[in-house]
Amino acid sequence: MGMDDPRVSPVIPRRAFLRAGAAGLGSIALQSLLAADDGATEAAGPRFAPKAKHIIFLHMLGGPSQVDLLDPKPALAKFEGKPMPDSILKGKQFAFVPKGAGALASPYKFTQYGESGAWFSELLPHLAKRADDLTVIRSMQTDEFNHGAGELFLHTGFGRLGRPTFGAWVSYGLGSLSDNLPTFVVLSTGANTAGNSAWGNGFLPSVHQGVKFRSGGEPVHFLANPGGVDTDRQKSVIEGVSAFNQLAFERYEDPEIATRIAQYEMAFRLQASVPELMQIENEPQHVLDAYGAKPGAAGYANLCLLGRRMVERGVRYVQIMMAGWDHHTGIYGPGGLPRSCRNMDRPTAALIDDLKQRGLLDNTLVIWTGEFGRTPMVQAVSPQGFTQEPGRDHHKDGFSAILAGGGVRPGLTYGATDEFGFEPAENPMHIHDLHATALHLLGIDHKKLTFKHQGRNFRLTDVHGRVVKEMLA
Amino acid sequence: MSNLSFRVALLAALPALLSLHGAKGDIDFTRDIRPILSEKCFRCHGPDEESRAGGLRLDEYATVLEERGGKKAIVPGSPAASELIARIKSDDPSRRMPLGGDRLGDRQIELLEEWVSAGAEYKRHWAYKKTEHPQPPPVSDIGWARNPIDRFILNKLSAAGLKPSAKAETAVLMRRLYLDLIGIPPLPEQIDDFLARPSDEAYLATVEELLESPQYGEHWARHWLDLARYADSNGYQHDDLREIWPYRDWVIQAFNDDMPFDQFTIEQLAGDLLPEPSLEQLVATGFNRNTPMNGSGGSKIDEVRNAMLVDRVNTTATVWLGITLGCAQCHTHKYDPFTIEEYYRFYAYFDQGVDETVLRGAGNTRKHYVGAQIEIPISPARQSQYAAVKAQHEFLKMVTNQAEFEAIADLPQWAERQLTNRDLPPLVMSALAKPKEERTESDNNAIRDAFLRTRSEVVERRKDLGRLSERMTTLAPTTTLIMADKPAPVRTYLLKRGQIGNHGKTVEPGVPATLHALGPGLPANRLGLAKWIVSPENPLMARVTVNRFWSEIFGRGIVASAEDFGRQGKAPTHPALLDWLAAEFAESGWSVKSIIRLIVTSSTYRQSSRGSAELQERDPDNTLLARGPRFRLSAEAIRDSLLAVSGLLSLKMGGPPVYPPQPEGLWKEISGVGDPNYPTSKEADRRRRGIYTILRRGAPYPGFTIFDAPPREACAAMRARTNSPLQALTLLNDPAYVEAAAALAKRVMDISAASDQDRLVYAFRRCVTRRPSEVELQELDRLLNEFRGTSENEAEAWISLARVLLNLDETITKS
Repeated sequence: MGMDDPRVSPVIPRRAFLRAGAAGLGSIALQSLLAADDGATEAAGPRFAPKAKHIIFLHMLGGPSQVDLLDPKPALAKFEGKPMPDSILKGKQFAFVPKGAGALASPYKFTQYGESGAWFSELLPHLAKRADDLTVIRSMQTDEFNHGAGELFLHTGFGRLGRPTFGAWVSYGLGSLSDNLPTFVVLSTGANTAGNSAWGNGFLPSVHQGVKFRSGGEPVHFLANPGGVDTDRQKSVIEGVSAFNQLAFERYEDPEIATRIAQYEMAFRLQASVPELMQIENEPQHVLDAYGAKPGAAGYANLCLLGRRMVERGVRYVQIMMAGWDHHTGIYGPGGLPRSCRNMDRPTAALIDDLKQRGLLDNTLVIWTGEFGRTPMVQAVSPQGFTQEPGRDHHKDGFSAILAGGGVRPGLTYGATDEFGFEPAENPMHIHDLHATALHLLGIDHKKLTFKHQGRNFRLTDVHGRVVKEMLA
Repeated sequence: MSNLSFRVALLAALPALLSLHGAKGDIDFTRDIRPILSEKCFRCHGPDEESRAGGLRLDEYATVLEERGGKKAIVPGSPAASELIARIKSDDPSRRMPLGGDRLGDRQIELLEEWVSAGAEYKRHWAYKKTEHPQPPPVSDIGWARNPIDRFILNKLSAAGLKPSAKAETAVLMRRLYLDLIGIPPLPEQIDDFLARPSDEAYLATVEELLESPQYGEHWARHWLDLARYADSNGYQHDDLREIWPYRDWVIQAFNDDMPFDQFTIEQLAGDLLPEPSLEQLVATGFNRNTPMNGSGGSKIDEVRNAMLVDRVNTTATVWLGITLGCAQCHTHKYDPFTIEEYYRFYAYFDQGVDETVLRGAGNTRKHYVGAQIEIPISPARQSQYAAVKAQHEFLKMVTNQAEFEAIADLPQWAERQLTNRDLPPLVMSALAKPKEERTESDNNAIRDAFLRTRSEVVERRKDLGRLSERMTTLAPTTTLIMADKPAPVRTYLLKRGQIGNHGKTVEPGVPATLHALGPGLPANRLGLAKWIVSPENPLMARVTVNRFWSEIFGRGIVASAEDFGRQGKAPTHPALLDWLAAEFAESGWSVKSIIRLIVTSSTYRQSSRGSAELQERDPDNTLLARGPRFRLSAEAIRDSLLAVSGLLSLKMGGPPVYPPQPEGLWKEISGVGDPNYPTSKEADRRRRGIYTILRRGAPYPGFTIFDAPPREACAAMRARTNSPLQALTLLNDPAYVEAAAALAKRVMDISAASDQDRLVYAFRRCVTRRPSEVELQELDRLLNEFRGTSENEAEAWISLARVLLNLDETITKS
């Protein structure tokens, strides 16, 4: 089992191992483990100067309604309560909307903001004020219109199980920036449909899978010492393990033993660094207030603040998932879309501000979107067949995203949908294109970041993807 | 015809060319040339007609000699006249091949030139050629070679100027043998006799004993269940549980019985189509039903069905043929000779299956995985218990309904008082806020439900009902999912670009033309397919299968890409050995045990796995096997081992999946609605072998995922072997292993009249089997005393020491 075997963790390059010899192996292994960008993992493709080093991917689970937030469609009023013409609906798939559904004009007021004049609805007052820091994409497209498959597509570029996620590819391609935190961390306010596969490693080595920090209980499985074991005791146990492993290494000269010694040391550091990371109560009150974060709560505001703390400490890829955007009903009701927006708007804006103030926004690409958008038509009947508060169904052909930082052009509104918001009228941007562009910002050619599996070189963008040059700053 | 005669003429000239070429070192088409053509050329000049450029295909000999525009791609014997060579060397980017790609490496160009000089001989891809039964080669050290495997290995080692390693230390070898055959290390008591009087006979006797142990089937079934993507849930949204564990038990039993592999194949693929199939033969067809199922209400039935059929096609092709047929689902395969039409002919075998999903739940929001099922008979005692609980349940249901009915009388009064209650769910509040006549049915239901939750007499009875239905579920007869076909043949279409509804021509069931032919008289159904697979004409099944056994034992297949024997896969390191094993497998009457026995009794297997700087440099991946295998155990084997060495492992076999303790709430994080409970097992069921642990695809047992157990979302021919800090955290802190450390400590402390040293040696041997060296013993002693110095009592010190031992690299590794 050698280092060029893709199934083996690439953590210790063989040359470092050979240099080390038997003596002092632990420390050398450790150094190379910590060596961040310097060969600690092999970059998969030729690289050019990256703009971004980190990604914070804000995934609004369920699919936010672009026509009520970012993409005003006044023309929908024409078909309010009347069936949309067949010429528009032809060939479209919807999960729950029946044939002949009428349009639903947005009840929310849209205004242009900032020098860029980007449109925001009244549901997003805080983000609107940062219009000139943001890039709005109004022509997003995906292939999938159900949550599970849609989540997979958003993160892996493929609607079925088995492919690596974006974060896993980034971990594989660029490696770690931190000596005591994982490369790819996932935070979530609630359950997502695709489960672990939304941050899975697919066919990449499992060392690249996202580490899901749980919101309740321990943030990482088995992080805490067992009951009755204090830090000193844990330390002597690990030192004891390493002493024997050192002897085993002398016996077998197996480089895997060297890696294991280093990983036990890393585990010990994680036990200290993760709890420290999670202690948002150490933030000054004005920072907590800006996000609306409350220590001990489990909401999105806390996760945004944690996202910044992670980036600050060297986590490369943070995936934050906020549940509650599947508005089949409740476009109007205070408990529906407005509430989701209220909980999302301020923390997200605070995150952008905070990153900017700390000089982190330049090298952190923030992506905000859903696995798809929502229909311009009304969904007036629940899946159970009852009349209900108006909502919107899943919509894959034209939805919106927001980008910020990391080398994207601020103030740009890219792409546009047709009169009714069904599909792009200009500059369509498929999720593959989003992946290709984001990888480009990280300094990776999406066509060269490949992994051979079952006889084929796979990549995140499959055989698709286009770097959208207009979007680069 | 002219090509053929040309070829004959060329062959006549070959000896001269070969001798010339021999001086430069042998060029082997399969090893040296095909990979270059495959990687650089086949994408546009390969089997796929649609993407083929200039009508030229380089994967077949026939067309490369044709003249195009006055030029020939290849003129055998003359690189200078061959357009292929001119184009790969060209400096003009608009002419240089591959177009738009990087220039070939100098060495690659040189190889192609040498190959054309030597006559540009093409060979049929090695994996599709019929298996010969090669003679083991002669070797210099015949004394070392215990069986033919050793002669193949030694022959290559000698050629590389290497010598085999010494035999492994006896205890280390015993440990290796136990782990490879039953997946659990030996305890000191089990091997003391052998260690006292080691002999070849005693070794062979141990091999037989372990092959006959029921734990053998449990260990070897695991790799098969990875291939069969066996799990206890549907996957995808909802990820509902399914009942199919009798299939898992069938696999264990089949390995224990050493069921001939051809029968093992036929029963899983098509047991239902055998004449008067037995219960076991039907259970075996669960293989096909292990496919994941997307149960989301919004997903389209035909898409869900298609995804399941595609999974069956791809799994069958990977497991028995080692071909990546899945690549031909949307377009003809770019590298291997499979067309999209052939894909859908293979697909047609599975398209005959009955429908397997049904929409259920309020408003059809959820798909259930149904299809054919069979009930496993239960004992009369359990039958009567079940009947009794069922009757109780029915009675209590009636009582509960009555209580609800009586309570409803108070509902209007209650509703009046709730108008100002802010603690109710928003849905209920908004329903109450409406005037009565405007309330919808769902409003009324919500109000009624909220009201009934306030009535203790209803709530209590509902709780009792819940308990009874749990009990009913455990007693109910087991059903298991099986395969069945529709009575009338189904018309199958080629799906253009793999898209549902994008119908191309209709296709009949059939197999790829490149592979061996369908025998006469085989039915056009799965049984015909299964019989085609096990046909003696099929060289792939035996090669692919023995390669996986080899890979399980040595950590790496003779073909390293165990899932891909195609042109993009890895060439075999020992092709003759692979064929010899394949032929032995067939001749043994497809006895799996006979192949495993051959491997573990070889001298190759018995070598020490100690490395050296030289070996590390010369052969870091140990492909030549100048030393024994050394690698980390599988996720299940790690847990089984740690429980075994601490004396906690339960060896109870079979039955419904068990639920060992895991961090709380994991199952609630999947779909958020209607997730099943995780009913943590009690007593010994917490400590059963890993193969019995419930596998919910969306949330598998974390201790296994962390050690690379696949979620069984798709067929997996190989597992990754990573080495991560999360693994360290698991072994250090998972309460299960803390419990194991305490048990080990107690066991060691309970030895009567023993010295510290006796106890330390015994504890060390339980974990890593061999005795500690002097240095290790000193270190053990030092640690124990260090722990004593910081512990409140003796037990605490020993528990810490046991934690160290359970965490050693050697404890979780086969050395």
